[in-house]
Amino acid sequence: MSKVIEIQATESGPDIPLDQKVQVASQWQLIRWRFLQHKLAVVSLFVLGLFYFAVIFAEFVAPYDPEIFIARLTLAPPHTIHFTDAEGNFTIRPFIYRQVKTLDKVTYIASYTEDATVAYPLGLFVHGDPYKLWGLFESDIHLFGMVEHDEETRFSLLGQDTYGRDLFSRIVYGTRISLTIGLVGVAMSFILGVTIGGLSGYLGGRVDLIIQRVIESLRAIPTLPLWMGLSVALPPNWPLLKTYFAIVIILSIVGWTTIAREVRGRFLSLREEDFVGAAELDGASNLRIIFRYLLPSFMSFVIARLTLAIPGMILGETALSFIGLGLQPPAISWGVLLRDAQAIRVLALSPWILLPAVFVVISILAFNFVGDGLRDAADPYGSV
Amino acid sequence: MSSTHPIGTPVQDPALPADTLLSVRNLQTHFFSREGTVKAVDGVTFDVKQGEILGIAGESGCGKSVTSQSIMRILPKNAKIVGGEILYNHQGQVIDLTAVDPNGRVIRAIRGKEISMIFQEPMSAFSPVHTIGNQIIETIRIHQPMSKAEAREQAIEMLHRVGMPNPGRNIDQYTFNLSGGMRQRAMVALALSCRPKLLIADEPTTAVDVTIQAQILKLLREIQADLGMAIIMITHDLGVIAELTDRVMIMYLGKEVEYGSVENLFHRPKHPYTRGLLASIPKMAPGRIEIEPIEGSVPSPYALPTGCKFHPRCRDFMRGVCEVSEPPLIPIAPGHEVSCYLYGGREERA
Amino acid sequence: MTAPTIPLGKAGNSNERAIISVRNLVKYFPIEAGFLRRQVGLVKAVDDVSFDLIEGETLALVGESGCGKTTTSRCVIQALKPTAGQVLFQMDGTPAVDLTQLDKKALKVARRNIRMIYQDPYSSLNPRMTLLQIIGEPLVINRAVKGRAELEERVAELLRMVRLDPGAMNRYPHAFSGGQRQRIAIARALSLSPKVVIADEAVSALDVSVQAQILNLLKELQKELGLTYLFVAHNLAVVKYAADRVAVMYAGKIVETAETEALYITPKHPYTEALLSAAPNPDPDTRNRPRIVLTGDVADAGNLPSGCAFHPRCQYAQDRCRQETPELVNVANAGEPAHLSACHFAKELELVGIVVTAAEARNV
Repeated sequence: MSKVIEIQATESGPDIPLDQKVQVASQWQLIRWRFLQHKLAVVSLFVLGLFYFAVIFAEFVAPYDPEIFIARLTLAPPHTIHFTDAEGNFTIRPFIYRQVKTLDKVTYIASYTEDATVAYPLGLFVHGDPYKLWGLFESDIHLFGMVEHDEETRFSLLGQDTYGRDLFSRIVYGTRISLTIGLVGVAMSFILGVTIGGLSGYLGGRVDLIIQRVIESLRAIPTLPLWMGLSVALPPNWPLLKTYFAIVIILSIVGWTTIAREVRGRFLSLREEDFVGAAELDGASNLRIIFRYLLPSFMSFVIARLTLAIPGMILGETALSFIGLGLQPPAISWGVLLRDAQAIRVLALSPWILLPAVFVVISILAFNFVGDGLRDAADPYGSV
Repeated sequence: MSSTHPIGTPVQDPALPADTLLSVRNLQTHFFSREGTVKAVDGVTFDVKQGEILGIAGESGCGKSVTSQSIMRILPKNAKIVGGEILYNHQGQVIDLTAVDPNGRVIRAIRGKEISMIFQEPMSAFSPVHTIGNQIIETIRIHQPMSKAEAREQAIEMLHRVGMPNPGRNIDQYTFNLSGGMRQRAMVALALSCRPKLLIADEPTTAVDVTIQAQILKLLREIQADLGMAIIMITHDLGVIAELTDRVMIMYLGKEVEYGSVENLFHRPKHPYTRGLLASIPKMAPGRIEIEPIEGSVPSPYALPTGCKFHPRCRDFMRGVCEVSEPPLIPIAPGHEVSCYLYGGREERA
Repeated sequence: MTAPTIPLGKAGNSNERAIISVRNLVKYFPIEAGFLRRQVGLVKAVDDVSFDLIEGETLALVGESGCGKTTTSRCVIQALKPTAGQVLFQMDGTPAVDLTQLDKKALKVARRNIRMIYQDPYSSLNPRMTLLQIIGEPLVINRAVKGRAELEERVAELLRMVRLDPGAMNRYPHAFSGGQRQRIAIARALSLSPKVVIADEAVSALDVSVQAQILNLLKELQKELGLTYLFVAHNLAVVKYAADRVAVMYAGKIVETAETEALYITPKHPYTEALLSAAPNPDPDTRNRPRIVLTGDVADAGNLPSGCAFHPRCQYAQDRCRQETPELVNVANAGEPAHLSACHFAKELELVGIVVTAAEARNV
């Protein structure tokens, strides 16, 4: 049966002349349409899309290998991108000047100046450090960089760190951990939360009582000290992946309780709805009621809440790594990168070291806006 | 009677006759939203005489509540009075309520003191964190200069008047401590605490049991006779209209379709909608009386029919006439007006 | 050989058949308080209710809020588990079963024949399912249809039965008005061709003109399909139009049961008299009729008065009323249809029913 319906006039014909499409629109379509009305949320979604593109194609997006350091370039500042050369000619292709490092004889503070005689044009899809995409595909094409690859010079988009590694590249690689830890953690919270919360709300009685008391006890523990304590307990010689998942589990230990309580609350109130009662009288089994009647009612709501929970996870990992628990170098995450910013001397002279924090803020804001947009769009039937 | 608050400048209008308390003329109130503009009230005209009970009846979406909110200037943010006048007779001075600032001193001096309102849900009329006494006393003292003790006396007396048992004690109760019937009475006491000239009752008995409803209606009748107060009774229940009111206005989709005395309306209804309504309600009379429903249902306010708003459902629909233009409100007998081409009005459209 | 029919209770004539017989139904809700949620009292929502539902009739349960009519209807269909009592159900040709004793499986089978329509058309339909899914749900769950084509055909037939366009079956409830949604709910209730339909305030939330449409639709369907209705309502005028027999409830008990005309013209219980007197009549000529206005509030089922629950508000109350709880007995004269009343003085009191105006008297 086709989706386009002919409206025939009957004595009790359709009175609400919503657009034909809206009448047959499913819940998800309506949510999508409402979401698209939130400009901020849409923009944020786009930004997140860019970030996750970087997660997937980090090797390609980053102009340089994050580990290769050029000692000569330690703490080099970001390059200024020029479009007009010294004579005042405008070029379409941007270029940078070479940086010349001079050491102050007294303070030993390095300072960098531009040497206008040597210009390096920039371009897209240039050759650079070789890499293996996902460890599988060899290539050396990078999204952008200097047109002529040079072992000694770098296009320093956001500056170089204390060892002479390209900060922007490290930030890009950092997305892989910082932005996925949140997702994995939230997925775990979701599974735990929906299962336990659902059981609690559905079974009620003593099971509900016990689970609620456990949840309350967990929530009473202060989060940061808990995370710190657990992280300290992690053996430092564990491989990266193991540590990664251990951190995820630690972050999720308390995180699931919020979802559980909301799922339980929703279950309890939804059970009283007439349409659930009608389904029970129809003869629907418990499973059918849970999956066809209860869960869909708040799935969109839960997704919105989860999106808003991701920033917490990102911050958690960043905080832990920043104070030295959590991930350790050579792992690259934004928190690890920010450890370099702890030295006040470095910070004062090379403020670009703090730039990973900006990315943290942007991604958290973006998730918040998307989550807000989802939450507002999540109940398209609310106004009916 | 001295007033501590000066009332605004009188209107240049021809003065209202002394016995007319409120005159609404061609009121238009529109709601603005993303989906479009809803003409919630679209040209409504009626008078309320001193001490008279006017009923405004209609089904959901007809605009009766919006009319009362327009009079009290308590419309929501996305609504606006876009046309017409609401002339209020304040001791000889005539004030156009549509022209005053909705938050200004003029309307605030009138609200609660001259014109008062009671609602469907008493719980939402009261603050849950104040006792009913607190709120009644506060209302009294806003409008009349007197001490707390004097105001409390007056409040207790009003509670007694409305039949609240043990008023001296219950004045200090919170709304959640009171039963449903007592809450209704407390709300009536609050509304009457300053002896208003006009009481607007917006569906006050819809959510209430029938025996409690009888109590409330009896109370309203008694107080009205006692204080010489006028009442606008807004309801969808034609039984309540028949029981209580002197004159009735029937509304449909923001328009006034019939306006007349309660006897005329029930015994000699003219507009097809009124007749349809009366024919479709079950009667409390012996024998099996068939009911005839009105065909179709109320259209969406975003997609109104052309011409007469009722024509798609009307038995007496006249092709070429009714869907072309809206019928004007014309008198067919003294004090009885109808908005229907069956009774004339076509000549004006020629 | 047909199975023995349920012996009728006190109601009705012997050649009628009760399809449902409620015997001594009791539903108490515990009042819990304190940290350990100990029971401190009981809300006697339904307190020893018995009545018969005769096949093919419409029996109305009438009363104000808290009287127990909705709880009773939920107990009949076993949506709530009764605290005590029996709900006997018998279809023609099968032995009677007590619904309260059935296990889940048997109850599911029995529920194909007893269906419910709810009050609120906005919350009784799952907003995330199409009409096809909503109306088809009972058919699918009970395996009454094979395959999608048959399902669509049956749903189309049901939509036509409630005067809706079958082409609408792929739409969602939010596209429909209140009255149309109630029609959808009726279609869902009829999907398994039941014998009994419980209408729990099914028209109370609808506009007046739509109410009339639905009431007439229900009547037509009753004739077409041979349905029996248990009609729960609080609007007396609607009940008078819809019902063959009426049972008035107060504080968890039935206080009067009679055929509609008899109850309305010659009530035999003071509460019924007060209800009839209080109900507004859309005829201004009757507005000045002598009115019985009850004092006080409706009885609280968690804290009932002694003896007759109505006595504190009754103008005819005597000492006996405070001491002795009256039984529901037949006070009709011999040879007349049963008229039950739970009042000590039912036979002595001259109670006033609906007022007949001179104009109406001429028409009669």
